[in-house]
Amino acid sequence: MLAAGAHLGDQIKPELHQSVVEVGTPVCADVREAREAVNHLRRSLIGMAEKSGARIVAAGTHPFSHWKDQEITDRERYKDIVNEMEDLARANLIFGLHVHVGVEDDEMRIQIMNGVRAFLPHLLALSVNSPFWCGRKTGVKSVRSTIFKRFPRTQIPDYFYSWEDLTTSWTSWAPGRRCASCAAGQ
Amino acid sequence: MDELGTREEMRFLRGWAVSGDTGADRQIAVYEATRDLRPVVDLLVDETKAGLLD
Repeated sequence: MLAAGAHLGDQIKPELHQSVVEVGTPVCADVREAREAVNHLRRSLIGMAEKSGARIVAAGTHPFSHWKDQEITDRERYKDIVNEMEDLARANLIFGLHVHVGVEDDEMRIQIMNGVRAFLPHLLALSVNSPFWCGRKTGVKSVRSTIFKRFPRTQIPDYFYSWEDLTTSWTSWAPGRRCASCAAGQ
Repeated sequence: MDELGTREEMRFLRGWAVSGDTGADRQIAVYEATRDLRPVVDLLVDETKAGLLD
């Protein structure tokens, strides 16, 4: 199916699990461009999948497919991840929408990140879309977010006083200098 | 909102917040009506296509 999507270039990519596909828009100047790009990619992907006898679902989890039954994509990077993280990686059968917002100014970027922290619970409350997991009704509306908690750097980030505060206190990770990133899960 | 071109999105979000109708609620409603998870997948397939193929 990915071969059929060659014309989309690097806007379509495999993921760790063969049953998962990632699409990514180019950098968009505003919401209108982003909406058009997402619609184009999703429409293309659905068409390619249907020709292959498959169907595309955008949600937080699949209601009943079990992670133990999923094949891992045959790429060195994914083999390395599974070798290092074992079932933590294999069981991470979740899907989501990531919105990356580029902010050029270092200090403005940090203050926007700090401000967005307060709204992340609201975004999650609106976007919940994973009440089922491995064929079970979980009792929560976003089991995706509880599964993803097992990975490092996946919850609301710490508050940082400045760009220097972030880069000196959290040296193992820093957002790209031109891109602050906010990921809203489903 | 007009400067950012987000008025339509904000209107949609406000309605969403008021109704409380999330994707999770719709999945649960289908399951409780059918006691079967396969129609839940059908719902997700339809919602993924919604508005794209018109």
